[in-house]
Amino acid sequence: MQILEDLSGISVLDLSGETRVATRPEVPVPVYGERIVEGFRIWDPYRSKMAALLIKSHIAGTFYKLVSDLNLSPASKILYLGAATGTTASHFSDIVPAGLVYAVEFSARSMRDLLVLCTARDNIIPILEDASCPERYGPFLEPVDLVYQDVAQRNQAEIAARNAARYLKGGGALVLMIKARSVDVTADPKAVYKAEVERLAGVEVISSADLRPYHRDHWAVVARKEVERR
Amino acid sequence: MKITTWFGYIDASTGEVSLAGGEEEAGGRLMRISEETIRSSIKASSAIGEVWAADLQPDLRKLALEAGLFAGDCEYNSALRSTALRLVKIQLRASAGAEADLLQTIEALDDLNEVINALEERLYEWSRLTDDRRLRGAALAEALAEEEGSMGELARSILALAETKSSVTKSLEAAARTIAPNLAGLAGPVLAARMISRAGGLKRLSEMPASTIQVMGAEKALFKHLRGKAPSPKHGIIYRHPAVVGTARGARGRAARALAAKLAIAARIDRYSGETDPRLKEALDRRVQEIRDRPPGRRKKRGEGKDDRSGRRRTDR
Repeated sequence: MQILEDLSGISVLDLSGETRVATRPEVPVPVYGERIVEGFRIWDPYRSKMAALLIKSHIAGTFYKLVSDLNLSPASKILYLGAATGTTASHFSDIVPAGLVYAVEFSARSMRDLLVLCTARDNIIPILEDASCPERYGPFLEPVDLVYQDVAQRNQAEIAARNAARYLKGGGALVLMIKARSVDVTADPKAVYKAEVERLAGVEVISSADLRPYHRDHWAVVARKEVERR
Repeated sequence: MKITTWFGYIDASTGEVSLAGGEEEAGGRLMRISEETIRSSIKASSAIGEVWAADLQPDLRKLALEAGLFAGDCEYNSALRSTALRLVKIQLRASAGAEADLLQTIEALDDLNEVINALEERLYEWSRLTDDRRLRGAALAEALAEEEGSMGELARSILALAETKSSVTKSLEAAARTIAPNLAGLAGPVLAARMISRAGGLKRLSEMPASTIQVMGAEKALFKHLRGKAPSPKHGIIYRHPAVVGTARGARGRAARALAAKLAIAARIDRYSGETDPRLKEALDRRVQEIRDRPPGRRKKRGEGKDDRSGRRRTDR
């Protein structure tokens, strides 16, 4: 095993010829059946869109730029919208050992699985709420350094913009996974993606990438919120 | 003005922070908070609603630490985590209600039906090798239950499954009657449960127009019709109701329409009041009788009658 790149707790490894992203947990225990190699949890790009984005950025040579755009530190606070059963959330939990991941998920079924992860980790805050109503989880939150969103809703960009407006610190990053098929199945996915990016108000888009071949008709958008001038 | 947070209240004007309630109260208090915020996000009229509907998020951590509620970040994190875990557990328990149970029960019943049919068919094919009695289905399983070897084993399994099915049906009927007494009374408990399951809950069923209920389950025919390639379906899963199958072909569309209208009303009563209303059943019976008594030719006067005839083609089930 060889470490190719390593920044803010995210590593790119060479596993006998295969390129993999991974995070290093305090206790190396698999969460969703992933491989553990020398203390690293291998981050599956087919299951996690974030891993797909990281691998693609590594191949494109923009890994350092991407990760430094996210501006993560071990004490960062992350708002994760659409945490589902916690596959990706568990890796974020590895990345911010001294911070918090606020994991918002609306499905009771998924939350039941997520709860298992939340009990095993001490830095994930489960919130059973609807991400399209940001004010509902206001009583729990604080301003965060990163908003990560992966919800299969029609108004993905609007949800992201409203959550970023309310919870993202000035200068903080937004990572939005756009699932074009959830917005409009009949339209051309690329056109849908472009229209969604147009709808991202209040943040400045830094970079975007499609997630092929790991996820079809998905795009990742990284944006930054402007520092408030008052 | 007070802002409600997970650890207590913040006075928005003075910035004073107070820790509310004892540790054991926290779960119930948070349940109230989440209910309040839910309600206020709908009405946006209560005091909490106004504060939380505002776009700015107060830094709760900073406020709580400044007020000295927690000794440090670590204490804040672990207190927040344990309260959030407790609240989610309460919410999950509340969501896993009788209705979710009903949905699983009807699915289980459908699965049982499918499995029993498949096994009975297999048993029939198998029995043809040695047996010349012309028995089928449950009767065949009963006849072969005493046999030795794998075939008898299979027959016994079928009988056991049939028993499971009848007990599941019984509990399904009881559940449907408690959750939706009017709907169950009008449609029969199994059909009522099937409708609730199809709609994704009584709430959603009660919000459906009668026309949707009428063709629920005939989606394929409906969309074919909407694409302009077929006549409109007259009935979906409500076809099995005696008011529909018991009516002559030509009047089934009308009967299905009348039934769907009453079912929609029944679902709404069940959702919002829950009291049984016997007038509904009487009104339906009267209307169905009226439809059946009406001479079939009369409708042609209204139009050219072309639609009526094309509607006779069986487009669904």
